[in-house]
Amino acid sequence: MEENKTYVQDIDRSLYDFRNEDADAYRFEDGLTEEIVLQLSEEKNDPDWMRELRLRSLKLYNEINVPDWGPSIEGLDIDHIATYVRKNTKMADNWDAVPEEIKDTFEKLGIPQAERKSLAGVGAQYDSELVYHNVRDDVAKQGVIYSDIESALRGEYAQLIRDKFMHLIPPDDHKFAALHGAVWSGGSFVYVPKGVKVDIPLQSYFRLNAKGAGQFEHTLIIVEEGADLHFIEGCSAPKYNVANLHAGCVELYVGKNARLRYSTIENWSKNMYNLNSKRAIVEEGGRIEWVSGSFGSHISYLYPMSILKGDDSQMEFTGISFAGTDQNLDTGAKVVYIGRNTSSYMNTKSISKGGGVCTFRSSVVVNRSAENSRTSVSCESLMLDDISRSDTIPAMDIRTSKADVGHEAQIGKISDEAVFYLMSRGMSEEDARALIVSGFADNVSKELPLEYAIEMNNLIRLEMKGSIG
Amino acid sequence: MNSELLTVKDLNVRVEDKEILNDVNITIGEGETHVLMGPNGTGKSTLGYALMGSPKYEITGGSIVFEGKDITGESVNERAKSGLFLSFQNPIEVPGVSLSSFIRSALEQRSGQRIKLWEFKKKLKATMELLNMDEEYADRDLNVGFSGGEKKKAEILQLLMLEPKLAILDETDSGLDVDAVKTVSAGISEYQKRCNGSLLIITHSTRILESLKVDKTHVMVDGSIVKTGGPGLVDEINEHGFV
Amino acid sequence: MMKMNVLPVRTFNRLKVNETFVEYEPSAPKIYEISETSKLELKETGDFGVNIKVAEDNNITVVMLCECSEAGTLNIKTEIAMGKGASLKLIQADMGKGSGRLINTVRCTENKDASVQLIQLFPARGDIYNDCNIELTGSRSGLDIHVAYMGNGDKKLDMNYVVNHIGKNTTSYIRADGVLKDKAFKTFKGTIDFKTGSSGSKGEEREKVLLLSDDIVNQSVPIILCTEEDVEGAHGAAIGNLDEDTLFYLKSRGLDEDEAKRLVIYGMFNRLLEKTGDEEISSRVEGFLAEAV
Repeated sequence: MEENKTYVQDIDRSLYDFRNEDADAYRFEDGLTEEIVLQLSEEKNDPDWMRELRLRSLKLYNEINVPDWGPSIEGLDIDHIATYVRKNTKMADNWDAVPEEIKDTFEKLGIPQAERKSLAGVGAQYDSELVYHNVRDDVAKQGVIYSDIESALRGEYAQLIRDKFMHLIPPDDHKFAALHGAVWSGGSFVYVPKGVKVDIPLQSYFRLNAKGAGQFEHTLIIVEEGADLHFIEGCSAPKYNVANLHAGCVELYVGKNARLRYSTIENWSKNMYNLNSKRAIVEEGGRIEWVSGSFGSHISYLYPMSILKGDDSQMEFTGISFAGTDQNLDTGAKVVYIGRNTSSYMNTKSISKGGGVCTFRSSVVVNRSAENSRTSVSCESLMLDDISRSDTIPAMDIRTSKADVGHEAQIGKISDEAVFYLMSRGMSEEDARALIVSGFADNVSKELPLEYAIEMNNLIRLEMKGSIG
Repeated sequence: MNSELLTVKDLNVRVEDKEILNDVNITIGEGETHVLMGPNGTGKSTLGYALMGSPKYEITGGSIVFEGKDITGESVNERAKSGLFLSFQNPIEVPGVSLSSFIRSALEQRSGQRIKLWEFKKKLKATMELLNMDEEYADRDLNVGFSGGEKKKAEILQLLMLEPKLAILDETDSGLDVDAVKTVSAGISEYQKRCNGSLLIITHSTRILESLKVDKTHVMVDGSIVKTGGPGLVDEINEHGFV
Repeated sequence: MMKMNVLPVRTFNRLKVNETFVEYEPSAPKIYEISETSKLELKETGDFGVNIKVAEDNNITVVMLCECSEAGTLNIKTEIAMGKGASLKLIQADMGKGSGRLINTVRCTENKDASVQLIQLFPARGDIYNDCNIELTGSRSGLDIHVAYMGNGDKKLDMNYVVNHIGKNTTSYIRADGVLKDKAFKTFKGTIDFKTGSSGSKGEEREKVLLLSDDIVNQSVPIILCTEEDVEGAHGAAIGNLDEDTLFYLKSRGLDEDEAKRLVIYGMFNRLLEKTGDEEISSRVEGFLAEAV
């Protein structure tokens, strides 16, 4: 039985915090200049349009202000962030060919084991480049493409990528989308052909090892009509005393009657500025499901957005954020209704402790065209002490009478009665509180594959350690 | 048989692409009390809602004739005005609208004329007494914060005040304690007496029937009437079940 | 230009809800000092300051009838100081004519054990800019806000409520009910802020909006901010057309659709009108409703 409980069981912080010396890494100068962008473009052998997109994005980046809302990002100085770092290695599709040190990193994080056990394909990114990519033969035979974006840019779907790349999240969307457009590197391209149902998940794992560096991977997923995919994204980094930056972009195209589930367990180290953008567009009868666990990073800005374009399209967002000492996690979701009979369901939980700040921020926009749409938002926040902070900032903009909008928010503390009840059964106070918090988080854990649910509960247990003064 | 009040002929009803009722036939005469029994989830409440004209229930075949007039396509409020009444299993809460002002509005809409406040209040008070309802409920928001029992009593209160020709009672006895069943049952007897009203009582227990005179019993299984008999059928079902 | 209705924390700029700019230049206000139960009629146009001081353990009711002239602007700022154990029932009713505009600002601080009941009725046709900021400074101070509005024509309603829980064991309840039809544009922002030190406090906000046209805009921003562990905060919003089940229930008693809607719309005001205990307001509000529905 123990055997089956898999690799993530004995998790501890050292598992994420180890770091490798990057002595032999190829690394750009810190900062962001046209020279650096052009150097990057050349290094990646970009097609012309991509080089132009990078330069246009850089210009926009210099023009657009940082947001005047949300947590402060004063501690982030892009002049001291290396935008591109890679090991002197080529991408492998065979685990043995991955350099020993990187292999060791991912083995510690359980990546190859997970692939053998429960995944249809795996991609692993180390700093700015993918170091490993593989997809199971039977899945590949169905026409499913899972590769790095760079090679896809020169492959069969080059035109498709050109049509979709940064179209959902254009570089002028906000400052960090512009930054991403200028210096993006790595990430995945996934294409699921019409009618193909991939019944086990694909996974990408992002590891930022280099100190004072940025990771700007781009994930582009296209799920064609009637197809079905579950994509899992995991992120981690060792802790440094200087700022690291993650400004990835995720663009998801969900076709007619297709379904895409996008799950993330984010556990960046607590010096990370996580300024990530995720967006999905959903065609008629399609469905996007977001499952999102945010545990790491120093500052997070993360609001996956769903555009319900087609009639009868649906969105479901299930999220949890856990902010501890020195963390300010500003997370939530956005949804835009365009099609008729569209619906969304948002269920989020947040936990603040040790001076941490959790903010739930959302935006629901129901356009006049979205007749007979339904919206349900439910968010609950838990305060574990009186030095932390928890804010709920939802906004709704409704422009049709044929909408049904429900919003419920609640904030409170762990019930003393519940702790007393569990302690009366012989549990320590710490265990009792940890158990209650795990239960509070079960909206997300029950949506995750078992291995990840266990990993998440371990993260919670880890965060709850020593929480009794 | 008394003259026909309601004739349901070969009624087929669909809810969200699912066929619930198949060729249901029921005829209820003036002043008659019919009981509709059957296991849970068999379509009994569907029949109630379809007879009342809920837009969620699509009639795919057959007809409903009330007092000689085909009402199959009529809107719910027109049916109510003709004298049909449905006591809801889960009455809806309507904030800001008091129980008494609601009943008065409904009466005024039915008759098309103003109701004199004094007479109305007198009748309401007497009827509430009959149902052991605290007078203060008259001024409370319709069903808001009412207990399960009070909601059912408020339905019977509306029945007695609106005096329809045919009342469909959907599980009016469910979730009630012994005393409340007696009170509700007394209210129903009063309705029979006061207006020579016809009844279609949907239930799966027999407690509410004990003090009522039943004319006919129908058994519904899987959306069809499988058996129709006299009052004796109730006892038979009590002993042997629905099969 | 007046900047008002500022959100205590900013959010996405695209929604344009962070603050409101009103084209109006106020001049020196005419001041009313109030410390006893009174009824105030503020008519025509211009700028008014209403200073309400409720002495320790005093209990008073203040009614403000705001009757702006056709196409004018009535700008009223009410500042309230609540003594220990004092209680105030403040009724503000917009009785403006035609498209007369009301700019209404309320600033209130409450001492220990004070309580304020604020009733706001906005049934009239003109635009409303309403900015209320209440500081629950004293322990066990309490606040109960109940607002009902009718949005018809091209009326703009921009409402902002900020309740700061500062003292221990403070309580607040905000309830807003309204109807939007025609081309009405409504923004409702409500913030409950549990400041450090407000342990044992409770705050709740309930918003209900009945949408009756496809040309309306309804914006809702229900915010809870919290830096204290031992508090309870809750928000609820229900926005939409009259739901099918309610409509069916009402119609099953013989009401037609218009009558059912009328009943529900009046229902949003009825209880509030009872609370005012003011016959004049009741009959005038009913007049406005009859015109709008």
